Amino acid sequence: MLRQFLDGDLWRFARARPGMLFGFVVVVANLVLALFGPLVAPYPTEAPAGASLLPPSGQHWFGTDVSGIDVLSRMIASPRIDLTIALVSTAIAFTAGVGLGVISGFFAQGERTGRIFSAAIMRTADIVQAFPMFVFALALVGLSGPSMTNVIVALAFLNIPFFLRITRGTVLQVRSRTFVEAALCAGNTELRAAFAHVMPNAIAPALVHFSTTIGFSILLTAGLSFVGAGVPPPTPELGLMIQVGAQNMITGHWWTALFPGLMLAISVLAFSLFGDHLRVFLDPTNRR
Amino acid sequence: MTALLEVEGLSVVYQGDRKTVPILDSVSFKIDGSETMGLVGESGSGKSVLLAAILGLLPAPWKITAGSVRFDGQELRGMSEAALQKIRGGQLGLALSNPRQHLNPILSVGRQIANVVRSHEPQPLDQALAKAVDLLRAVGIPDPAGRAQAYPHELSGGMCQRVILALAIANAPRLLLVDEPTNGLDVTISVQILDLLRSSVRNLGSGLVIVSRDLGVVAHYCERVSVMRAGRIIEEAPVRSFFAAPREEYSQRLLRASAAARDADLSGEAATEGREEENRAAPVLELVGLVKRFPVKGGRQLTAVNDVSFTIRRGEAVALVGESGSGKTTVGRCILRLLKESEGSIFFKGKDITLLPQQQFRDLRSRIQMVFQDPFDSMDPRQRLGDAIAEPLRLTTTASPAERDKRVAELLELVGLSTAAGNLYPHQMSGGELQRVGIARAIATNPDLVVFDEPTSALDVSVRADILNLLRDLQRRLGIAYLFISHDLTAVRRLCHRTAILYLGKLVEIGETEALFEAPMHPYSRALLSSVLYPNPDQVRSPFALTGEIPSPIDLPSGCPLHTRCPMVTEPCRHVPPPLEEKTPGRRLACLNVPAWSALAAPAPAEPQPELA
Repeated sequence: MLRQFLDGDLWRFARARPGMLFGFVVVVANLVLALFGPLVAPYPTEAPAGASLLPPSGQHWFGTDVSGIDVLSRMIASPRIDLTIALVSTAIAFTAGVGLGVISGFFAQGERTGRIFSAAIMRTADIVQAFPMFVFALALVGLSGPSMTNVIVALAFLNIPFFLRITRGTVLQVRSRTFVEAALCAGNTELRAAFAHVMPNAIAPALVHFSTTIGFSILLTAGLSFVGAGVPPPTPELGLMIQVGAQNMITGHWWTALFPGLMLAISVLAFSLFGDHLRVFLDPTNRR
Repeated sequence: MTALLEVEGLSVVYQGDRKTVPILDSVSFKIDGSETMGLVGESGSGKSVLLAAILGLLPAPWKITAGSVRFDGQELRGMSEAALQKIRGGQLGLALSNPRQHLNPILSVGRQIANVVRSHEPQPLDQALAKAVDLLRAVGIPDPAGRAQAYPHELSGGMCQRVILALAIANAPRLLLVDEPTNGLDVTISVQILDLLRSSVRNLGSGLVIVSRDLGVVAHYCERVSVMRAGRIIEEAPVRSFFAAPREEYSQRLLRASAAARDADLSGEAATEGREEENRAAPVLELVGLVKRFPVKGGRQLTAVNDVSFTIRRGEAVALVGESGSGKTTVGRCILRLLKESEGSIFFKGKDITLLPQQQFRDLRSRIQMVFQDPFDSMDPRQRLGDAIAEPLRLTTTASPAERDKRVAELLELVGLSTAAGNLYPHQMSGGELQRVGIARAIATNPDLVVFDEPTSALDVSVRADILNLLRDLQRRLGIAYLFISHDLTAVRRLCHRTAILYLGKLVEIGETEALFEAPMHPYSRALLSSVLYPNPDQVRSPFALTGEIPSPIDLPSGCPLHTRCPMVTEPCRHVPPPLEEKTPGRRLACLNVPAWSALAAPAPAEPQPELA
């Protein structure tokens, strides 16, 4: 399988582009940590392993935090939480956004009822997007208390309009091609034609956006934790670590916030880079 | 005397990421200062790359690897960009196809011409603009001073092509290169453009190279022919001897493919066979007063189809002919219920399908099918071809999966493809093969009627003939009624029993194909038929021609829609809409000035019953 991958187009493409290679490696590392992180962490991730606020040393590479928990161990365990939230919320947003996008795009120029329905979807999306993203998530989590499920719901809700708009745009283009008419002539109902023929040809941009959205969802999850509306402590989560660590930074204990911060920055950057290059890869007109 | 343009051993490659593909393989030709040469070849033969290479306009992945291009004794290859620019658009004029694409959308056309004039001969803008107006007049644009202010999107395709021509001759070039001058233009406009091209080249006394896929154009407007195939010039000959007896086997094939319609054996066969029973057969499709209007911005309406009525009987092939904007495609879409008509009725086997709700019409889908114009666009790129053919069977019939597979294999064979083709995806096939799949899909359910929407116009000439033969063959064997929508008159003549001619949404003439082609009676039909350029330099074209442009269907002219262009126009034409009347047996037309059947016309085949109840 490895050999097949190394001969494949994607690897060839990535090899020539350092940005994508970097993104690729970090994304894979994140996934591996999400699967095995808590198992390989050298110290417990939610219990003290030494004195409070130990500076980085041979024993605790990235030091310990105010409660004496090993920072490195918490970082290793964090993708399981951050990535789960990001993946699940993005998957929900993707499914709902693409589905609504296909419907609103397909019926945008059809019969009267279809047009009204399509317009209603778009106006609702406008309203959702009219709220500042962060405030909206805060309100949602604030209403029903901090928990992982709430963070996921809030993020999913926020991301639906983006997937919706991206998909609708491509559907509008694909809709005007004659194979859609051919599908109707073959006996498809409009709804069937929309999902069986238009959607597969209009889904690529949303797929690419998926990767970018994961990166930003990690950032947003951390952001929510930072303002106290995310997952409850002492869950090993990057935003939470930064929030707790930020208070110690003023007193000179820089390691508690810096290392999780760096990891967050690198992960977000990697997912975005990977997504960007993936778009180029998937669009054959950009290749020779 | 040395040649004006001399291309020698020119080779071009395309450098991709993976591999390098040769595009041109040591192409050589010469052209004198007052010669007209036609460069023919199918798409992909390298014609356009050759033009770009001559002009030094090849973009990055393409690269010239060998050869020389000498213009007037000067080597163009390796010349500085500044020096090249002096020659390009100066002594060496260029007119590209797709005129609208090659005009700058944000500058008025007068300004664009003036810019070209000034870049080669610095002068005040006023003076250049005045010259632009002169040029627009020279290319036959009415109201040139007014049109000089117009932007490209305000002009029709034919007008844009004239502007491109004005740009090309702005600096009185000694050689004019023209790429597909009639691409995308209607036949009656095409001949106007070509005549203009010829006369302007004659006035300037310059040479002309016409690059075209259309052998008819070359036969009528060129003195010499070069045939290109796969990046090589395979034959070069004077026009007359080429069309009389092409040397190369490929040229012969090309010529045979596009010659078709004038061959007596082919057309005679198509028109008459087995007609006696069909005349008595019950109508499959009957259009009664079909009208389709589209709302346009500003509350106005575009009338695409204006009161069209005709009948198709069982097993009959009827052609719907007209130029772009005539509404022929709209008629097809209304029949398939892809569009909802504004007025009128469509009877399918006696049942008015305009009254059926969508759900019930879906049950009829298996009885009426359609083949689309662009085979690449009409196939789902992510669906295997076998699945595409099986889809109507799956959705509209009760056939089991095994029966479907069997039927798909049968159909693939019927349209001349191997059964393995069912496993391929659309991008793995050529246009012609894909159109065969489109046909297989349409006949999968054994429909009573198939609507063909320009099924050959996106295909290359040599493939076109094969597809037409297939269609004729299938029609004979399966007895399916055809509505064949086309502007390709040669195809119509070969395939259809009867022909209906549309102009601006109105039916102007309908009758037996052969009789109609022999003796068209309506002035529009006469002009249309005389605009067809057959690949025969000795064809005598009737001087009967239309003037001007097709009016906009948004503000239809009052009275007869043709009165703005008709050479036979009289005063009543401007006010009285002509009714569609039977002027000779079996021939109905809408013209006030064509007398009813008298002893003058050639005998037309008798038609026992009127076509409309």
